[in-house]
Amino acid sequence: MRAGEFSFSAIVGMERVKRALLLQLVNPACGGVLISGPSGTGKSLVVNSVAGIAPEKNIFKLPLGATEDMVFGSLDMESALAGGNKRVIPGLLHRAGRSILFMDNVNLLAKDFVRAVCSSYRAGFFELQRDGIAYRENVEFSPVGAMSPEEGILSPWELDCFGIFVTTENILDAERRAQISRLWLEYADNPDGLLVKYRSADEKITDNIIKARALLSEIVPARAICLYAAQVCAKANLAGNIGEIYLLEVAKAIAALAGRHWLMPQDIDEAALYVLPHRMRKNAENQPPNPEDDFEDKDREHPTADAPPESKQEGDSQMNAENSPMPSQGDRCEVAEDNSLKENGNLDKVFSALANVAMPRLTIDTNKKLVISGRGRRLKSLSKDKHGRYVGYTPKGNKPLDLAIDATLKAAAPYQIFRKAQGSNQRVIIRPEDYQNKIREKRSGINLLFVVDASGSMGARQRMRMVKGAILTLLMEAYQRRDSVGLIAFRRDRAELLLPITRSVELAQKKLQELPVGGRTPLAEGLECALTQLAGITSRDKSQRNVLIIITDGRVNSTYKGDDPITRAVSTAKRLAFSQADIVVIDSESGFVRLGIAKMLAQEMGASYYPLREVTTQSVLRIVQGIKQGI
Amino acid sequence: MDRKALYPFTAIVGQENMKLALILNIINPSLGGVLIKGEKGTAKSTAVRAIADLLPAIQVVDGCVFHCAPTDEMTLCDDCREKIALNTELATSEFKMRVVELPVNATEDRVVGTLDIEAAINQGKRQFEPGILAEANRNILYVDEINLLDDHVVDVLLDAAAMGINTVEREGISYSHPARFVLVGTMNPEEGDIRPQLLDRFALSIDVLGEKDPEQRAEVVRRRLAYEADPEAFCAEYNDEQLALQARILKAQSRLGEIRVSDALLNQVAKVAIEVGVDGHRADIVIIKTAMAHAAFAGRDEVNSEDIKIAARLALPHRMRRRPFEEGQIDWAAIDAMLG
Repeated sequence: MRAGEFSFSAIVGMERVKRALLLQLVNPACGGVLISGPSGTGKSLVVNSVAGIAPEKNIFKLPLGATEDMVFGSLDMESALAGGNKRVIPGLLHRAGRSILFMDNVNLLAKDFVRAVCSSYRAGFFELQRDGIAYRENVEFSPVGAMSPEEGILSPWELDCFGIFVTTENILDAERRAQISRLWLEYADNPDGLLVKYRSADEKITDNIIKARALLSEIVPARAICLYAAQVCAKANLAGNIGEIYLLEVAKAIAALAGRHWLMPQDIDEAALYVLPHRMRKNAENQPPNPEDDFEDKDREHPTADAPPESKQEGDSQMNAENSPMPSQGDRCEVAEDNSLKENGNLDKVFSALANVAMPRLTIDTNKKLVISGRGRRLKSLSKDKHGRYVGYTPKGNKPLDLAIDATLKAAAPYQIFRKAQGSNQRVIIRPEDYQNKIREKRSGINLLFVVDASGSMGARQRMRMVKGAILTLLMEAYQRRDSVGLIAFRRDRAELLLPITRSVELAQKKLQELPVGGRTPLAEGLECALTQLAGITSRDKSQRNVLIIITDGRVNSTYKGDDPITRAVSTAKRLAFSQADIVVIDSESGFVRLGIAKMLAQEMGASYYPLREVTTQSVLRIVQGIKQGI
Repeated sequence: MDRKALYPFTAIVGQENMKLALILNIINPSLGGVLIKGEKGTAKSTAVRAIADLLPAIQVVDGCVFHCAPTDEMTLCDDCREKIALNTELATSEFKMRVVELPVNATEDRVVGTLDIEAAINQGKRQFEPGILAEANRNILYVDEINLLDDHVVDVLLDAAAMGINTVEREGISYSHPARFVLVGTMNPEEGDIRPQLLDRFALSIDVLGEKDPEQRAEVVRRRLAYEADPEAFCAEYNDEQLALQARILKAQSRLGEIRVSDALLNQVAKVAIEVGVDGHRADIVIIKTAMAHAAFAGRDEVNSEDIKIAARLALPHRMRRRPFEEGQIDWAAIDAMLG
């Protein structure tokens, strides 16, 4: 297929991304490239255009719908059935040869693919035992991933798999944007014309890559350079030594592209911009999660102003600070250990430049958009029903519940000779012991059901408004997590389902336009209503996780049936304790005399309990985020 | 074949935005589709089927499952490419654009295509069985209630729509083929949201509302009844209008290559896109493409600011970010002022 080809040289901007891809093409040991940036900024375009400049003249794509047998290879069903031969069809990893293996939307790929692909890249081979054959394949491909962080980010481990990290950004300069449009018009008008126009530029790049590759083997990093690389990594607080290795490999590619066979400190400086951004962050993540982060760390003006003093380590403060502060005396001493390096290398510049590289969690422009921290990882779980993406197969269970035909045929293949000898004239004889069922995976969200006190007690109106804010915010980020939200309010003599469990922002906006408050506090009815809702959800889909968030001051004073309101609330609470839901009680009781009923109910339900004098959107969100992370 | 005549496109009452969006997508099939938001019973699927029916048949490679265009070498499938490499003449046949439906409960293997089970079991052969995306090549891919589609199906749809190629690596099959289609999705926003990435793939979006004017409503019903009573006679009534629209669309199609956009307008579009804060460059490009199709439809050779304004109204709303307590309203007066 040739469609979609675009000229690498014609692409406007994205200098870092283009450079990163070149480095990877020159030196496949660079560790692979991960490109992160908003949708529509040209990530796929630039990677696809690499096919035109790569000496291999090709790239391979790992489509989202790939199954594992096609990625890693498997028994060739055709020859197995025909002659009982055990022949392996090589997987994508092998077929890619020395080319780039492009994982577009890498954050949406099936669960373990990124890991498996990156591990085998690192090792240079993979071993697989399946379909009755054991084999080992050597691989030489280069992994390249692209993702738009608003669909969820990769785990630190997965991020770490990639040697190089680069971002694309929205261009805010009208002139340059217009230039992109003009280029597109030119391309739409005459695609071949554009390719021809830039062909010589592309060919020159290919020549440079080939020349640089030839130089690469001559480049042996001097001791001083290795030391410098180590210093850079130490300063960035990297764990392990993989950072140094990638730093040196990238630096080698930089030198080779410049036509040199020796390394200079500047090469390390430049390499750091590609190798460090996604690694440095780990340090911050190891610290106990601070819920304030989720909201305040986006406040770019005062990034470190309110950080506790003990976290102000050298590297940290520089990494976090946008307007990088002056380096402390200590740093200079470290670098000064090697005089020659002091002249050339410029650590401080590197680190202040690094501070400007937007990490996935920061690529979201908080001035315009409200998105809660990138920490929210996608929940992917193996699906037990027949829904979800088909990722692999298993012989488990001799019943053809969700039959994987290809795998079943493969399982049956080796026995065909014997079975046919027994006198059947069927083409392929399949027995129950051959059955292979599909393993499916799906992204599953959480159902968040709010049960809120809307009675006349103080601050009900405010409380409801705050909860509404939290619900809308949760829904806006729900497309990432596939979460649904619902709201039950209780007041007067009954509980009311104000918002049925939904993923629709529009519906929530409509349903929550008016928030009636006032009247007495029939908590038991609220809990009862929650029980009914939960039962409904569970009967529809058992695999869903449900979280019940009860917000009340616990001053129960009404029940529909006229018996003791507290006794009834307790008995409903006891029933809720048996539901599979995770329950959170947010206690808004305040004043001199506290009855502590909410706390007591929380104990009855086995719920997490948060006393909160003032219910605000942010405090509710913070608690919910905490719960979601725990699931 | 005894097929009931389809309801004519020109007989649809009102819904001007939807009709325009569909027409522009037909004039330039690479525009990127349209998302129709609204409730049931607003003639969405009627309009989509009617627009496909309006056009004359296109030339395709005879016997090719992907209905390759014989004259467009860029988008040929591997089989057709091979034939050309062997200097085989590509036989052509006529093919009428179709509406290929992707049902909400479609499984991934049906969408991308998979191992041909019959060939596997009967002959022990590994053979590709084309799926919905193959069928949709050069057609309209219609996804009713696209917001209810399974996540992983959306993923593969995005993958294919992005590059116009469907890459299959599953169940022993490694295959890729062209998948260029006009994506038309419908949704009722109250039944759940749609992922922004998928939203961004739609070039245009429109809100359809039920007709409010009693006169118009009565007209809708009157025409519907007349059509149900005697489809052939009803269609005959609209024949002239249908032919006139068809001619206009075909003319616009042939004119499309000639349309010019001034640098000043390109700049203005860029400024508007920056102003409203959309992600990426799709908005810019879509506005320009749409404006070009609109200019062609209006019979002009040069895009003017009116074209851009209309295009912006179709291309921007669904690309806006929403925040709690805000409806994501665009200040059209300000944008119109920017566009002069």
